[in-house]
Amino acid sequence: MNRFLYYFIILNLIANIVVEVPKILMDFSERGAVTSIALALIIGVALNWMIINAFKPYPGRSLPELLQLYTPKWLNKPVLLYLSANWFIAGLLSISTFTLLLKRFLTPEMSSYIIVSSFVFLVSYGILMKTNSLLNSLEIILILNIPIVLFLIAKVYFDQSMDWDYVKVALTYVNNWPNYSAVAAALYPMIGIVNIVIFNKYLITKVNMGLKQLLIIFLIGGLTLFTTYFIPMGYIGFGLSDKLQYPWILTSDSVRLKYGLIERFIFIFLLIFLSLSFLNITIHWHVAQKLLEAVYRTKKLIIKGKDLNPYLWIILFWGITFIVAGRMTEYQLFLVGKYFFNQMPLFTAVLIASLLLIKRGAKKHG
Amino acid sequence: MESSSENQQTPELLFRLAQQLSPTKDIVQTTLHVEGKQAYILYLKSAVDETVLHKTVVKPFYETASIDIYSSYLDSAPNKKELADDHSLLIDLTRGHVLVAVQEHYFLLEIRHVGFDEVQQITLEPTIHGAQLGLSESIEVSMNVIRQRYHQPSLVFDTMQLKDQSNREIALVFDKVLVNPRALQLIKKRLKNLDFPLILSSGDLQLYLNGNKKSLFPSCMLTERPDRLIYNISSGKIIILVDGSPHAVIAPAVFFDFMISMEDLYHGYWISLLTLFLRYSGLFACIALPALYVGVTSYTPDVFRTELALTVAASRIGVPYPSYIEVFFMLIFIEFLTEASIRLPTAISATATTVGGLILGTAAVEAALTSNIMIIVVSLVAVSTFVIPINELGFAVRGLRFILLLYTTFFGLTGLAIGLLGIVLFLANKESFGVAYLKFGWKNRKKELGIGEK
Repeated sequence: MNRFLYYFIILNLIANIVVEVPKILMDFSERGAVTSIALALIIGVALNWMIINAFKPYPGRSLPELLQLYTPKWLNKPVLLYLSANWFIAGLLSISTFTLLLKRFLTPEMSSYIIVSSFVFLVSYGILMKTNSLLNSLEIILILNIPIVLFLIAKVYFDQSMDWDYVKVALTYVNNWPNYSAVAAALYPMIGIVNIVIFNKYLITKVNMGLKQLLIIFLIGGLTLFTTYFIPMGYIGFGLSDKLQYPWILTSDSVRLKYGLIERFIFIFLLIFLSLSFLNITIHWHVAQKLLEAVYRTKKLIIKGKDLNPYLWIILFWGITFIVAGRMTEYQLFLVGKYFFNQMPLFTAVLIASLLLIKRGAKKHG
Repeated sequence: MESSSENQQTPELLFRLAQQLSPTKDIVQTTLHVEGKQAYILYLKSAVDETVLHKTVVKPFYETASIDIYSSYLDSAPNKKELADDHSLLIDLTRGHVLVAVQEHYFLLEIRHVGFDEVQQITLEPTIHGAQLGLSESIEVSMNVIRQRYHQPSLVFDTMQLKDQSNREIALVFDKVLVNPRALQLIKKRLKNLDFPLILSSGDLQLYLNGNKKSLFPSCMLTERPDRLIYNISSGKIIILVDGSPHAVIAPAVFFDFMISMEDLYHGYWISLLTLFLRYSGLFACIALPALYVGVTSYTPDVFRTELALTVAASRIGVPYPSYIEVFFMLIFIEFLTEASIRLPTAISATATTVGGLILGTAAVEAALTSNIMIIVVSLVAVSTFVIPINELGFAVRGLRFILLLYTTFFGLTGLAIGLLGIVLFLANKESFGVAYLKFGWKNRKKELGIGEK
């Protein structure tokens, strides 16, 4: 398997450890969270398998190009619009979450708008970057950060205040049926692979998935989901977690680096996960912009040989982000996040359906 | 034939060229004649090696039996050049060519005299173990230096002439088997389209080649180390030598090239790993420390452990302005100091650093204009900038840390974290002659990641 595909999967898994997903899962801890995670893991791996293998016959092609080639026009524009909205909202939700998080824990006196703009400037640069270069920076940032992430996670696992009894209590609820919302929330971190729709253009070979890769993804995904859901239990306790907004942040604040230059674990934790989320947001929006460009593109905006179309979308993104992320409260964000996750299966269904259509269209074209 | 040999008149071409060259006084136009044999010579005294001229052109004239033998002697001389139009002939004369007219034939012989053809001591990137002598200001000698260190039949010297006022000769040096063809094509194209009135040395040539004159990071590398040149040739890069400049341009250059010192290759594995680690932590320190200071003191003092936070806060007691002004002030001060000590002669620069660094620094702390810790940060930043082995990157980093400082001043520690990522994004998005500036290299990389073909 092409290593960039691993990067997409791993980045999305790690970036979603911190917020939203654990909170939603914990809300369902007595209503089938454990089985939901197991089910989401299986579905997630299957989705990875399907999506990667659907792109296998078309090396160097992105989804918009394929849709243009093999599907009717009235169909491909709405599909692309829907998909790009999803990508944009995914990034928007991450920005909103981190805005609130930073305001709560790192810079409480700063205005939300300023925090949003600290993201937005550089994310926009990421949107304008060459897709190829974005892949390179993804690799660099991920590889530089993963050792630190592993250290952080290991520290949380082996800290003295971790009480495994609560984890065992949580595991006893294994006999409940999975819940739709919980499955959808647990599925979301698993489908980082969807970014392939744009980045496939630059991935030439090895876009395939064998049994070994399937096992690797299953293992990584399983471990990450386990960490996401069960570890905060060990610190916060079972049954209380639904009263908290940020279970993982509180967990990280329970750990102390006794001899470290930075004593409070939460700061390293926040900044590292902030970096990874930032990267994830950049990738989401890059994909969203590329998809939108396939939907609408005007020649009027090519001024002096310079294509200003991306700037149009960036202005749109900025506007929406400032309005939404600057004002959202934690409760609203939680609700919106939940709705977004709940419609995630539809998103995957549309994506898979369009891939199947492409396959059929390609067969027809011979 | 009889009539022309008897004709005492200077041949017309020589006359015309001499006219165009006048009134310069170093022009020499003489007639050699003995027993009915005649030859005319035109050259510029200031450009030609006269001893060689005497030995190879004048003496044989008197020693050969007939004018035909002399003519065929000149015709088979290895330094003979083809004649072109008047304009390029004039340029050739200024470069040290000698125009000889025998009967009705003209011969253009290259007998250059280069006064500065000595190989120079390496001053920019000194190492303990590596080569101690660098290139020369004469392009031939530099080419010789490279050729004698890299004995491969595939080594190519592609010489051409710059189209600016100086009309200098430049040479592209590469290994034709290993070279990156796309970069070579791009460099040739850019050299062809080069449109600048005057190019002074390889230093500004590399800027013009850059394509984007306003970029902060260098995309070519200047070096005077032959071992670095060989190392780069063998990894498929292209060297540009400029006549009269003791520095060679290496292109394409990527970020990691600037972080390598040749010394690394001469040390053992662990030692070079350690120095590499030092270098990267120095790079990180000199980019991030000033910004970190602002982020920690002004935005989130509780990040550090309590004792440290208190120490930092205590040292700032009495400082009358916010931390970002303090940092800007001190950074600019240290830049003054660096700049002054670079430009001054060695004897005076010691005074400048002492007065500036020691006396002013202490006084600033005592006057409570800045904190002790700020002085430590600034000195650390200044020192760690010099850990970067290649100067150009050092300059770029000096600019970069101001940008990061600005971002942190606006956004706090979040700004620092995101700004650092922004730097990675920026560097990854930069290209040097079609090669990505910052990326990890691994085997099979090209196979997995490529440019999508339509």
